[in-house]
Amino acid sequence: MNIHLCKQNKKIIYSLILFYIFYFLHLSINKNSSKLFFMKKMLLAALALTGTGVAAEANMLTVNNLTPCTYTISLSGGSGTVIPPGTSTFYSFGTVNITAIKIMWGGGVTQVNVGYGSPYHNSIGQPTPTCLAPGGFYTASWAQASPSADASMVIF
Amino acid sequence: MKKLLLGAFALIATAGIANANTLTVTNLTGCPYTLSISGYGYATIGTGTYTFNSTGGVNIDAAKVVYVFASGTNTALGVGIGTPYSNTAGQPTPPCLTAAYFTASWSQGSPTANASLVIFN
Repeated sequence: MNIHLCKQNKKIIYSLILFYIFYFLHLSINKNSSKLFFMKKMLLAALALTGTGVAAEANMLTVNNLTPCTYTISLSGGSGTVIPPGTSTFYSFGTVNITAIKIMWGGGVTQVNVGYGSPYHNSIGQPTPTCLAPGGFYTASWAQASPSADASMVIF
Repeated sequence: MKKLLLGAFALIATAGIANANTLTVTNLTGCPYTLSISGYGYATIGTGTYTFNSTGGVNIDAAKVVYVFASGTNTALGVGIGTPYSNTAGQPTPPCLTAAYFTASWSQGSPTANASLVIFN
């Protein structure tokens, strides 16, 4: 899970979007100036912005679901509704961070909650999802170095 | 003769199955680890999935996950049925990781049930 790369990628994408917005804005206002010179200036400005933290309050969550189940979720600080089997990625909203998740099966019949501060939880004692072996349960485990760092989670 | 054979089968059934479980390890990181598994012994693993059957009539219920640096020092953690989550935050970072530490998580319904262990970044 390329945790640090992810955060870096997000910043680069933000700066590229900013760059194009400013560039086309400028083209529409002043058609006579040197395009190349302006592009250079804007590129520098965008890079500076990236450094100061356009994405300072934004992280991402990488999920690896090793079970054959699809879960419905409630995600703190980010958008997302389901976790299918396999690897999936969720991004936080612009000004908050993802720090915790509720993982539900069967519309909330069985629930597991993990996050920063409570990194392990299993569904022992709750109804077994039909996608698991009879009497089975699922476990979610969360890893996050700080509340603003990118998080990763495994369901197994 | 028949009775003896049946008796032998019965003995095999109780001794062979009663105290024996299986541990499934899934290593999602790019690192190799040395595992010390209770009820099994030592094992070296790479990335991927591994299965260990307990030996000697006991059950597997805990493991120590160790990353050994080239210098011989190590970064380690322990997980098991009563301690199902542990990470190596604060310890030296293995160079093969994409994060500052690795995490190991243990799942087991009872001390005699089969166990699973996931190691991730």
